[in-house]
Amino acid sequence: MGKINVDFAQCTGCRMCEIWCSLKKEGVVNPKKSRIRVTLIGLPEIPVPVTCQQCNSAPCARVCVSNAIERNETTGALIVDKSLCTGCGECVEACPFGAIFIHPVENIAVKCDLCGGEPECVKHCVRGFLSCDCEAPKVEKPTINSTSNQKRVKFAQKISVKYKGEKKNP
Amino acid sequence: MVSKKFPYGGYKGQILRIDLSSMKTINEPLDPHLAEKFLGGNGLAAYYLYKEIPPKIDAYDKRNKIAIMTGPIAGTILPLCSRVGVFGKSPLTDMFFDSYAGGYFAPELKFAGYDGILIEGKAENPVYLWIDDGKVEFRFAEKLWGKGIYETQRLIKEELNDEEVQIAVIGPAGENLVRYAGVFFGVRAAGRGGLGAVLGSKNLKAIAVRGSSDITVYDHEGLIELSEKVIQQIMKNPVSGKTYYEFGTTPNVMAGNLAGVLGTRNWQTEVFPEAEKINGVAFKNILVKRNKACYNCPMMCGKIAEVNDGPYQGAVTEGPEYETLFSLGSLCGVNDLKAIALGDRLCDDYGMDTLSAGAAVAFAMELYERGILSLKDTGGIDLKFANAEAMLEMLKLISERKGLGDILAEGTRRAAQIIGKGSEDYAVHIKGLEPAGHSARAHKGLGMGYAVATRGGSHHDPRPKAERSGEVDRVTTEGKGQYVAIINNMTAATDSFIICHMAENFLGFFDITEVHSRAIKLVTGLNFGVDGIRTLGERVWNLERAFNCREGKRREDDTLPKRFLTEPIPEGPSAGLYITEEQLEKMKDDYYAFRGWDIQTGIPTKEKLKELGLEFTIKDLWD
Repeated sequence: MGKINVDFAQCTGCRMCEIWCSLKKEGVVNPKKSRIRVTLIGLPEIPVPVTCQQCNSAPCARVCVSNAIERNETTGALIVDKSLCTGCGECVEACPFGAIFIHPVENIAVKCDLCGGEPECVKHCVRGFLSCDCEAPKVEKPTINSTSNQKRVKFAQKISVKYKGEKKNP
Repeated sequence: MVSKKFPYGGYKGQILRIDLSSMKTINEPLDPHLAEKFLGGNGLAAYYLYKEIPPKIDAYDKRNKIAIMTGPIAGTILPLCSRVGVFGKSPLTDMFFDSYAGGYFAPELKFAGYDGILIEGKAENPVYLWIDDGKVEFRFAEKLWGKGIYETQRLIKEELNDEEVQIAVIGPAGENLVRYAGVFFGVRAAGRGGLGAVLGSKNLKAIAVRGSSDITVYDHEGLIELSEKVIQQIMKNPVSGKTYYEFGTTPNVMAGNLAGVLGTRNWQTEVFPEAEKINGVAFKNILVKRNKACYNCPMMCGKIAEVNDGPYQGAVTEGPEYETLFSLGSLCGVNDLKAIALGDRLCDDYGMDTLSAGAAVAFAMELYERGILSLKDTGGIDLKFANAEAMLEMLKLISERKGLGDILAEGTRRAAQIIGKGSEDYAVHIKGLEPAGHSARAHKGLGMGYAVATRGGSHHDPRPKAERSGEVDRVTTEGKGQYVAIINNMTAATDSFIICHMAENFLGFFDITEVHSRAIKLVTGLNFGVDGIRTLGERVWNLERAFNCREGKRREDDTLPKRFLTEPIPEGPSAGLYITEEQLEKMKDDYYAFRGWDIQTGIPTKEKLKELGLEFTIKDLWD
């Protein structure tokens, strides 16, 4: 599952992720339009970059009555379908991170879409404090559960062969 | 709200005028001709303030004005250019003054719709200003008055219910008219020159800003390409790519000490035997918790420091950077890094310049050790060099203007006049401004540069790096007139951009480059060329000089403290170096001649002023 990982302990608050995100997504440099937001807390400011976690069970997608938020199977990103989104804002209410917002002009929900697998923010985090799983080459690795699945099927296949047509008559 | 007609990219095309006397605000269109002639930042401010501040008024007169300016590049994709400048007539030097800060304020102000703010008049009661995307309102600041910059910003964010607004603020030192109170942006300081005290005299406590509009640039694609190149250059350079990230500017302590140029004990010497204790490595190991950057800066020289144990446990600050380690450290003979960290935090919170504050304390320490100040004068404080507790106590008294602090709050020049008894000999200042941690005696160009600087003892009018690094011979006086003039023109131009002076590590120490020229072209569409930007710098510098000449400043004011002119550095690798009166006058002759200034008076000639398009100053200087 792809998502942007943040090294919260190291982020310096240069905000270059916001700058390059808004440039890529909106064609302008404007942090307030960025999909990743470096939230500055207290003084001296502690910078906390906040962006979509691409949740497994995503509240935004669950509450969307238009079914406008769907997962891209290649990157793992949750994508807002512009043609379906009504801009009702239920997803904004539902997101626990404040990582989805309504575009001021287009009036639809906007969020991080992992730039199709090559996030601009990660590319421009000059010291590498942002990273993204989806950048790794997509090799199918057996996870514990898929191993278990394979074993289960193999076992079941054996059993099914063993008991095939050997119906015991009473 | 935002002028769409402005012909050049990068600008919002609008200046916010604030009249505190009538509590009125005006959105004034920016004249495109001013952009062509003065660009932004330093240049624009010098123009407005020359035109609008009446000559020879007191800095605390309500007719004095403060400009808070951005440059055309601020808020764009290009790194290192999102600094903010504060400008006005300084209560410390009584001349034109400019001071700059990083942080996040400049882009926010641009996004809110303004290239700059011009503040005039005086509010009847304390107020602060709230600028929300082009909507401006005055708000009461009675309950903020007397509060430090940390608490003030917390309260404003609470009142506006927005953690992310950007705030310009003064502390108690500004309210109490400490002559070196700064203007703070978050915890980043436009510290020098006392412009915070001018805001204090106007009863303006803070300016909070929030903005969301876009900035349009002239050549979008070209600027992206240049920005990516500049980022690569920054990261490849060992200083801007590595040292600043690892240590900030703090390794300068050891570098200076090894060269024997680290101002120590009020410049009585330039070797500090305990320098290692306050150097970058110790700083990093003992204090630094995390690195911090300004807006759109890959260098990340800021450091958040925290004291973990001992009597100052719990002190948290952004800094101290090199100049503060010098001023509160070696200059006061203090070797306790943790005390310096607390001193840095206190100066920030009180809202005053660590350089001038440290220099004032060091001055008083020397007077105390020489018996000019007694234990009674200090209010019972044993004000010996190396006494960290005494240094911290004095900082507090200065910010409150209590006891001896009331005198030191006047700056060393005025303090020496008040104290008398020969204390003038130990007052180390240039035109009222205490010099930064860069040796005038060991770097002769820098020394002469301090003398002719429009700000006095600022290391941002002349720059120390070329002589310090050995790229230029530091001891010779030959060619230094031209050398300093070229650097002045560079800093005046780059302060109009406004670009961080740390960019010199990869753009070069003393001249305008093709990168500067391309940056301005791509952002604004203005095609200055390298020569045009040099001329812009020269124009701005001459205008500042004209401002100061109109105040009555002349050749004889371009001088150095007695210590630098008569006492050779007594020990260490730079032992014996100083600038003789004769050397200084010779370098000044060269400087004035190169500049096209009148050799006798130091006033820019009519011809030079005409050549630079500054005809409007001639009647003030020559008629």
